[in-house]
Amino acid sequence: MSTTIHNRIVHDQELILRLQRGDEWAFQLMVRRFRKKIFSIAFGITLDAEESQDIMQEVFLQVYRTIGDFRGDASLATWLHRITVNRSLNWKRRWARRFKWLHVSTDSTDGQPAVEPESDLPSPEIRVANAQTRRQIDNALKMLPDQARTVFVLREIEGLSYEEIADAIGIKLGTVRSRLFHARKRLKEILQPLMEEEE
Amino acid sequence: MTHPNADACDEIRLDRYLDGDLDAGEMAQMAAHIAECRQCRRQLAALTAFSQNLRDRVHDAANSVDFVALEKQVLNKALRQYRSRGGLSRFIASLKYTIPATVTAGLLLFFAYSNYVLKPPPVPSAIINSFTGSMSSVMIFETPETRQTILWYTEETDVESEPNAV
Repeated sequence: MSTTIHNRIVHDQELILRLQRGDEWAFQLMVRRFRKKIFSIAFGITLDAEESQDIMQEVFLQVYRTIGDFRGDASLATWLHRITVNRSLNWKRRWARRFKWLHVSTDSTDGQPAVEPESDLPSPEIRVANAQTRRQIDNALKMLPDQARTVFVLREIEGLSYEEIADAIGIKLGTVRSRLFHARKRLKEILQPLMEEEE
Repeated sequence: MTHPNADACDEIRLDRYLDGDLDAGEMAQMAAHIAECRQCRRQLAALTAFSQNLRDRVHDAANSVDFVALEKQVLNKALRQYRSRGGLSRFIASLKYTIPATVTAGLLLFFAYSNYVLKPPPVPSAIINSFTGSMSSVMIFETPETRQTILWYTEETDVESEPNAV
């Protein structure tokens, strides 16, 4: 992967070397390159925008602290995915937050009141439908086991290949297939009533 | 590659079809099956729609985040970490010189204290039992604190007499 800064393309290898030397702009470049990806993965797992921002910051700071130990066995992206997944799952495992995660009212999605943002679609019906869709997505995802949801999120949101998912989580390729299969099977069960409604 | 039950519903193959994890022959076979099978078509449509809605959901959430402000926060925190780490390393580096200097100063103080402060009370340096020879003008001094005895005399035998001190 590469990004242009100061009219120059910087590849991951060079970025890592510069990070290990403590270059400030290299750190800034890494943040800029990966911030949205990390937020998206964290949000897919936690479904909490505020917490996902905190997780994103923690991930970058952890990378900054430990970049000296990075041996390059995996790509920088894979390393970041791994840290993000671990931090997101750790967040979920904390009891108090787990309680909130499982029991927060279905009227709110990420701790915010269920007020629809300003939209180009003025129709209240459409906005209600959007809110319903969001709730359905959140509820369905929350019903998936952690492991299956993590694999599903990496596949569907980030579009990672089976191999990349295996590297990021540290599991075998067959386990990725199996978890993805079970996630989709469970989703089909959850979505079944909705499919029947639509008929 | 052909599948033994190409016409039967196969959830695993449907899953792999979704991910494009089948070879070209299998993909074509699965596509033909889906065209004929209402159940698989519905499942495929539901999963595809769900994934698209999920991506839209994440995309909307990401759009509401002020990444520029977050980037500044992260950079500031990282710089604080760097400075605090730098301060600690400078402190550790300074110990390289401070510790030997402190040990040397401590040793000097120890010897000075034991030699000058804790010095045992002085005793006479010599006891004179007998005194022979021709002398005159004998004077005996004793220093007040160290109690050293000084004899001052004039020896008569020498042609050039000069004062000697002991």
